[in-house]
Amino acid sequence: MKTKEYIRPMPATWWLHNRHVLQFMIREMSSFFVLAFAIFLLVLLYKVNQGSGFRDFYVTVLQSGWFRAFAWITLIFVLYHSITSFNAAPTIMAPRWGEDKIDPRIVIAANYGLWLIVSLAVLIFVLPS
Amino acid sequence: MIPMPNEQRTITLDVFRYLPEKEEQPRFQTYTVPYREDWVVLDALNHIKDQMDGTLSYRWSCRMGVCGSCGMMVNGEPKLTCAAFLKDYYPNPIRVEPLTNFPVIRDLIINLEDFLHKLKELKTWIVPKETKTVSQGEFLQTPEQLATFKQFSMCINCMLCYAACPVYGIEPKFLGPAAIALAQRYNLDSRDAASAERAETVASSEGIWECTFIGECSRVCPKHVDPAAAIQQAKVINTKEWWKSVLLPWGKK
Repeated sequence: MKTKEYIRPMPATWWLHNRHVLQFMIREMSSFFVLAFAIFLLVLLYKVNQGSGFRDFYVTVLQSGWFRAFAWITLIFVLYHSITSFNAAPTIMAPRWGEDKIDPRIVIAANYGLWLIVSLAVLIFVLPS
Repeated sequence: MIPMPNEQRTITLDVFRYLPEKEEQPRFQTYTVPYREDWVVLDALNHIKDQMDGTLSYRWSCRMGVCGSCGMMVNGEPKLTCAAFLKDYYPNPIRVEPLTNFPVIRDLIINLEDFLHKLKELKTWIVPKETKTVSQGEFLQTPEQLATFKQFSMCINCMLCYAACPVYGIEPKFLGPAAIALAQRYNLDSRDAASAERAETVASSEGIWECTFIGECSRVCPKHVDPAAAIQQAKVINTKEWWKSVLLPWGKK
């Protein structure tokens, strides 16, 4: 005879029970700031090309205190998101050399290297124009 | 303070009890057991069972981290109780519960049927490319071919990864870390020919795409299988296959 099984409910605070899961949740939530900042920049680029009225409006917005605060918060979240994602990269990409796995530190370093190259390319080629 | 000899020291275990024929709700029962530096939580449970309360039910077998049957929540963390030393918790009390995210049959015993069903669904065994008679010899494999899946073959089905996975807790239909890691183990095996058959289940919404890469499964895995890696690598392989099927529809899968 099958006995009655006890099902334990999942508490709504499950993501607060453990430091690692909380860090994951922060990484996921950081995406909203990254997305919001990206949308803002795209709208800004689109509108700025439409006339000086919008340009003045955006200059006022960009110089405001709340926007600077938002930009700093976004920067912190972008760095957090990038660093935690780069650290996770060797789990997703596990290149091998024969029987051996390539050292995860090399995969992480390659990601940072690529980040540096792309950032330099933006600084040199995109920003001056 | 001079420490007391081991024989006189004790440690408290708060153990989850559920007796379905007697009680509607589970409760915690406190046991005070002798403290020994070389004892693990499983030794303390065996002491309770042998000396104090024979009604306590739990699974165990090998006592050496091989059989995977003594997985429980120890102070809220999924652990093999044969590898969780009392000295790491002493002098604080230890809370012992059945693995979370599973229905409890009795005391510390969980129902594993869901996992076993998923293993079957994923065909977690070798489906050979060709049949061979014994006289035709074995299926040979190079060390490089073995290395691609060996890590994922170390799974002992202890279920700690399922207890650690919030996704499985929220959505029990999720195939889960160990089952997908084992599917990936066979997909990567050069002797196997069933990856296409598994793909439909592995790449379903209840499979790899349900995983949000929290990584708790790999953190708690006592055999360093790294199921999170198996799932993410399966995502990469499936994405490549999908693009191949879109861009090269005439090509062989």
